Amino acid sequence: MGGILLLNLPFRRLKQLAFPFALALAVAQGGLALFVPADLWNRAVVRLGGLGEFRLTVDRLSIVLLLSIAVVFFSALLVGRATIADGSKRFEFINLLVLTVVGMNGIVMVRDLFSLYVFLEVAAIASFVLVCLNRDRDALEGGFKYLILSAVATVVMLTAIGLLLMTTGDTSFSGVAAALRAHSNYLSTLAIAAFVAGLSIKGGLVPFHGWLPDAYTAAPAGVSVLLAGIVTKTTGIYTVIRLITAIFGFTPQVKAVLLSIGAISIVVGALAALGQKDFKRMLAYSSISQMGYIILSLGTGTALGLAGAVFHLFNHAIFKSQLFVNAAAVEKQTGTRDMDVMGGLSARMPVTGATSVVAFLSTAGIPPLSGFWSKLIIIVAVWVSGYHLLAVLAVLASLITCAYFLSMQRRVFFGPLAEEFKNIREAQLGILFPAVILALVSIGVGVFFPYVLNSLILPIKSVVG
Amino acid sequence: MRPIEKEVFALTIDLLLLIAMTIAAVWSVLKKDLVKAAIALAGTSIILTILMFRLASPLAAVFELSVCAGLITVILMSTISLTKPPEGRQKEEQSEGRVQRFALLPLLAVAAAVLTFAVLPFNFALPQAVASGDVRTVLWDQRQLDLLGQIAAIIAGVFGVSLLFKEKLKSAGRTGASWRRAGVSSTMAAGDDPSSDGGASSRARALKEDTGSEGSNEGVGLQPGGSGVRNNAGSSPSGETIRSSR
Amino acid sequence: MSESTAHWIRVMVVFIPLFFITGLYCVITTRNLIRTLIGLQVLSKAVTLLFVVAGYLTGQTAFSQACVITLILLEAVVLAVASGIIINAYWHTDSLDTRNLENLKG
Repeated sequence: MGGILLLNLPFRRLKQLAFPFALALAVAQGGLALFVPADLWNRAVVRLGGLGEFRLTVDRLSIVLLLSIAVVFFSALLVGRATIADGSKRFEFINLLVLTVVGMNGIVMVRDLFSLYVFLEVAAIASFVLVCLNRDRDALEGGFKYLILSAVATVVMLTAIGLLLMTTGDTSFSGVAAALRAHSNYLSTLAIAAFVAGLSIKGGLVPFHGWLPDAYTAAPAGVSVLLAGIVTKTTGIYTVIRLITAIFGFTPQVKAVLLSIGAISIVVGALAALGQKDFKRMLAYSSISQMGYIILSLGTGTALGLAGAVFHLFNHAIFKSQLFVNAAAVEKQTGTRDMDVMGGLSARMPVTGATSVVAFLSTAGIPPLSGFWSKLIIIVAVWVSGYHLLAVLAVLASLITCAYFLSMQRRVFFGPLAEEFKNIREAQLGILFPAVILALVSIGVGVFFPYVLNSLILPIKSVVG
Repeated sequence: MRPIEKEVFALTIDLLLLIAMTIAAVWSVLKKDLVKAAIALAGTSIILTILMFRLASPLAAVFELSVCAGLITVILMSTISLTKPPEGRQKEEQSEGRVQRFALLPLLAVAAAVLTFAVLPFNFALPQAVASGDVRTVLWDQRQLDLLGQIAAIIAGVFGVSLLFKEKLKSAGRTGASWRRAGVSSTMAAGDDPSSDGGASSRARALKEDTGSEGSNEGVGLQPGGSGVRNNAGSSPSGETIRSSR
Repeated sequence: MSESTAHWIRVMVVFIPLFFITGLYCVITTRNLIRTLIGLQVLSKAVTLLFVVAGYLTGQTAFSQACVITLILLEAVVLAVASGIIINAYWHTDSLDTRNLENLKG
């Protein structure tokens, strides 16, 4: 809740305490998001806000995001702890991680365009540094590209905000929405276009995805989990959803743009993932593809589409983090990310292999896992809105997804055990634990789908109506 | 007569200022020498400050002056001096292919600007000039959330700077050079995808730095050996250099 | 709307995109890492100008100044972090050429 925003104290001397504290934070946020209804949140937040004139609100959409953030935060924390041996570096990692989460929580809870920008930057800056944590050459390259593209995107978004300020005299969501409904002109249309463009860069959608594969691949293991699992989603996709539902509305042009960007991202991401040898890089392209699904669903402009989009967002946070956690495990134990070199690892790393299977089945949309349901909703929503061709495309891309994941699974985990890896052990508990939990969530959400549907997904309609 | 004259005069000054600022900005982009470019950037800031004063934003103007014309110029200068190549001033050209691709862009921009200036109607309804928030400090009370965010951003920045500016010349230099040799030689020997080899060996190196003597030692030790089996001569020196650089 | 306001908007619509394009051009076509930062700064100036003008035109100078200050500060932090990255990259490769950053292609 709002309290979490405040709790980002960097521990100068109490290095021992940092880890358990951050862990407690993550669990607390997750628990709160799951079990406390929106009104209670709002009251607590407003009371806290009364202390210092904060204007945060939480609604159904925010809660889903907060839950996702909490889960990925938790996993990234554990993975980071396991893979970063150097004590002081771990300390920096935890602090920066918490800061990123602060930024994202802020993004999810604000009701004002400019504050959105501020927290966007907070999350971005913290994640730039996180990517370069190890200061090796590849990380610096990925981090730099990420930084420049993200900064350009920020400037574009700021232009949009400035234009909106000029034409509507306000920056709060409600103010701008009201003013736009009253009168709009081409400047405000330009602002909308600029916003979408900027956010597409941040979200890693085609054609603005240039930084994503490099940054995801080169970042240290725990950071990749964080980046893929939630940062891109929150800063890019969530913001698009929020802006469109709260401010711009589903005009035909907006829908058309979303549909095309979504479709292109799905296809390009999937095709590019097919040809990858580097484990993490393949996962990065897969993420681009999945983002495309979310945007495509959003582009239908229906409540069902929105529900599908948000659900898939949550699911993707789960299974993509899962996959990156597995990648971290594999990388740590084998010292390489080249899939051609690996083979038969599941003989020695059974848990990692099994959880990886769960994750990829979920991504590809195989029942009864969670991914199946969200993909189903998306495809149904697209079909029902009349875009039959796009629905077919989505299904085909799903097959491609299945294909590349199957190939990955085969190359990495099944098959004969490669010579050099005869003696590796299973990853340590710190990495296994989040992997198992994430897998359980995937299975659980999939199996208990009706319950999830009613409690988490359908209420999102209240955001639209 | 006089009020109109004054208004025309005011507008002209602003126009001149804007043109000056544009020139300074273009200079900073085109000047070959980085230091002069940075100074041109500072000049742009100064002119912007003057414009801001004229546009009733005094506090922001001061901020812009002190941060952009001051702090940022300092940061740029120190970055430039910290990265000066040993063989003297480096001659930097612009990426030719890209210049060709985007050469039209500035021309298009100017053309578009002139067109919009001439053609489009600008008499849309702006919101009523709200009685402006009286004093800025009073306003800042309404934006405390942003302040909190800024503090968080500064903290993140401090971490970033302290993390990134740590003196690590020795290992960075040596492992950088040996890595490059490893990357290049295995590329030449194998001729297959360079990125995966380079990535793998640098990963191995980074892992070694990070995890010291944990189980991944076997992985690292075997990895150059393994790829040595695949691409003969190229990688054994790389295996050598990776071990010796520790 | 007064004549001068309309005039201002016209002028701004010309100049602000000009700055924007200049900065963008710089970021896209340069081969030097530091020059990318300079281009980024020019972009920031464009946006700063936009906010100041927006505030002036809508009479909300106080709010727009608050935005501008925040903006400048955040951009400065980003620049500092970017410089850190560049310096580290320089320590690795002894050059500032953007072509060196093509390593991860694939």
